[in-house]
Amino acid sequence: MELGRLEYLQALVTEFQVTDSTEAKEQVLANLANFAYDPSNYEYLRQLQVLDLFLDMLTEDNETLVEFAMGGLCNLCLDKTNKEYILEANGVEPIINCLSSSNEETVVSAVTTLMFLTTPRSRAQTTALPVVECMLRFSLSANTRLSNLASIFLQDYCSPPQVEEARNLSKHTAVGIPLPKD
Amino acid sequence: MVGLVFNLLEEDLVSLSIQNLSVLKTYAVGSPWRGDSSEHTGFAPGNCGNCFLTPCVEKSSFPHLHFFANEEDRFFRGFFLYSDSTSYELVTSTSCMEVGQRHKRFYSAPGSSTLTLCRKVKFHLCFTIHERHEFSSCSVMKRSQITMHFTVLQSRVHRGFQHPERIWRKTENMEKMCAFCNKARMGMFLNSLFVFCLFQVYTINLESRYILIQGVPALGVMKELVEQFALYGAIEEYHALDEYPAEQFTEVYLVKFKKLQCARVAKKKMDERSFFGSLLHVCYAPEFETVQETREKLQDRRKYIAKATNQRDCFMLKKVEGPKKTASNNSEHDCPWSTSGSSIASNWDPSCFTSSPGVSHNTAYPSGNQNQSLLSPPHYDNNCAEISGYLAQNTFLTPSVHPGVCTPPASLMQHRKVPACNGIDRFMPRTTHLQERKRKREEGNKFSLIGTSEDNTEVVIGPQLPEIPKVDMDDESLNTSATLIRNKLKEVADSVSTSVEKPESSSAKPVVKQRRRI
Repeated sequence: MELGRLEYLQALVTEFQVTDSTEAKEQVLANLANFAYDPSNYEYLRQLQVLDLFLDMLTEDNETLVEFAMGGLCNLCLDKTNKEYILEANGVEPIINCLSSSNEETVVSAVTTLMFLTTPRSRAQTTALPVVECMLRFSLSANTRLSNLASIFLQDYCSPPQVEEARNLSKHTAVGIPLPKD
Repeated sequence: MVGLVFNLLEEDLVSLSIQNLSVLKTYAVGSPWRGDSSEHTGFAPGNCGNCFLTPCVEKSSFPHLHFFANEEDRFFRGFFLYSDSTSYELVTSTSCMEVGQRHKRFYSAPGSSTLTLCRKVKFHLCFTIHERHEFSSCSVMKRSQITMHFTVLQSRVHRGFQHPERIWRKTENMEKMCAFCNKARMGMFLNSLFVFCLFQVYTINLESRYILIQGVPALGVMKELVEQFALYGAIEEYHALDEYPAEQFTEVYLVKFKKLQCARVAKKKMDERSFFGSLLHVCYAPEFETVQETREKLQDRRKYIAKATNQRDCFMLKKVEGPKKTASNNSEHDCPWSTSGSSIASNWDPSCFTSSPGVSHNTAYPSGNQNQSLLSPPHYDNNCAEISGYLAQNTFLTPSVHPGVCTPPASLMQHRKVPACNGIDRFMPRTTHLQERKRKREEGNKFSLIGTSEDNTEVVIGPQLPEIPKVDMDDESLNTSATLIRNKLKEVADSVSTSVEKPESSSAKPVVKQRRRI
C-alpha cells in the first residue's frame, strides 16, 4: 500500500488537471485535502506540488473548491517545510481573503491556518490590522467554533496594543468583512 | 449538504415532497431511467454517462419528486438528492419537510456546526421516506439500508481514499445487500458510489473531544450507554441534552472524552451501531468546546505534527544515506522501536541485545551489528557522525581508538536512539523482518560465543538484565507515548552515565571515528 501511494496521489493530481467536470474536480480535491491530514503524506504532496494546487484553488469562484483547498492547507500548514513554502509563495494574502467567505468551513479553516502560519517573520502579515479587526468581529459570532478560534487568535497571536488599535478602528467604521452565512 | 441514496427495485415508487429546499439536485444511477418525474416536477433528467442529472430546482418551487422504477430495468437503481450548502437554510429557518400528513420541524441549536445539522437533516430524510411505505414496496425502503449507504459513503471520504470495494467488505449489512443486489448490480453499485459521495474535508476544526450521540432510545439507558463508550477511553463528562432536537422516543447525549484519540475511535466504532434496538448516530460536537479546549486541541495537533515531521526528517536523512551503506548495515534501522502497533511485537527480539550491567540499559546494543561495523568501518562512522548531529546531547568525543572486538562503538547506542523517532515511516516487508531477526540472532549467538569472555565490562554472558517490557498497547497513540517514555528513561539514564564526558561537543559536528567509552 505504501509503495503505491505516490502513484495514487499522482493519479489524483493528474485527474484533477485533466478533468472538465466540476464535480470530479471537487471530489479529487477533497481526497487530496484529506490526504493532507496525515503527515506521512507531506513529502509526496510536496513532490506533486499539491501545495501550489491548493493555493491556486483559493482564488476560484467555486466555493466548494475553495473550501476543500482551504481545508487542505489547514491540514498541512503546521509542517515547517510546508509553512515556509506557503509563506514564500505569498499564500497568506489569498488565505486572508478567505476570511470573507460565506462558507463556515472555509472561514474556520482560514482562521486556523493563519494561526498555524504565524511565525516571528510572518507575524506582520498574518496579524495585519484588517485581520485583527475581522477576528474581533468573529469573536462575537454566535457560532461557537468560529468565536473560539477568533478568541484564541486574539489572545495568543496578537499583542494587546494590536487588538486595542483594531477595536478603536472598528468603532468608527461599520463596514467590515461580513460574517459567514449561518 | 444533504444527501439521500437508496435503491429501487421493480415497481417501486418513491414520492416525497420537499419544501423550501433552495437548491435541489437529483441524481439517478443505473440503467436508463424511466421515472415519470418530469410530469410532476417539470424537470427532465439529463443523461450524464452512467448517471442522470436533473437541473436544479428553483427556490421555493416545492418540488415533488416521484420516481418510478420500471420492471424491465433489472439493474440497480437509486437516486440521490442533495442540496448544496444552502440547505443550511432549510434547517435554520424552521422550515418543514412535508410527507403525507406528517410535519416535521427542524430547529437549529445555536452554534451547531453544519455537519451536525446536516446529519440531522439526513436522518430525517431517511425517516420520512421510511414513513412512506404505502408508496413503496416494503422490501426496499428499509431504514437500515438507507443509513448503510451513508455509512459507506462517509467512511470512504473519511481520512482519505478507500476503494469502495474495501468499504463494501467492511459493511455490516453486507449480506442484506448481497441478497438485494445480484452480481451485476454490485458493479453498478460500486460505480455509483463514486457519484454519490458526500465530500467533506476533515480538518482539526471538525474534530473534538466532545461527541454527540443521537438516536439513543429513551429507556433510561444512560448508564449502559456510557459504559459502552467508556470502552474506548476515559470519559471526562457526559450528560443528556434535553434541549437538543431529537426524534420521538429518543434522546441525545453529549460525551466528553479525555483524549481526542479516544473520541475518534469511539466515533468510528459506535457510529451506526445498534443500541437497544435503535441506530446510534455519533458525531463530533466541536461547538461545545470552550476556548481553552479548542486551544488545547490545536496545540496537540501542533505537537503531533512536530513529532511526526521530525520522524520524517530522520527518515529523509536515512534515505539519503541509504546508498552509502552496505545492505547489512541497514539492519540497524530495523530496530524494535517502531511505534506502529504490531511491528513492535514482531520486531522485538531480546536476543539481539546484550545488556551491560555496569552502566544502564542504554548500553545494550545489537551485537550482530558490531561485527558489521568492523567489517565496514568508514561507512558506518560516516553514517553515525551525521546522525549524531541530530542527537547532539548524546554525542561526545572520545579518542579514536582501534575498534577492538569488544569495544562497543558509541554509534551503536546512538543508532538505537535514532530509529526511536523514525520507526513509523520505514517500510520493510515482513519477510525481510524475519530474515533480519534470524540473522541477528545467529550473529548474536556467534558473538556471545567468541567474544564475551575477553572483556566482561562490555558483554555479559548469562541471563539478560530485564529490559523495560514492551507491550503493544493496541493503540497507535498509546504506543507512541510509551515509546517516547521509554526513550526518555533511557536518555536520562544514559546522560547520567556519560554526562562527564560530553560537555563541549553539543553543537559541533562530531568528528569521524568517535567512540564511546564506557
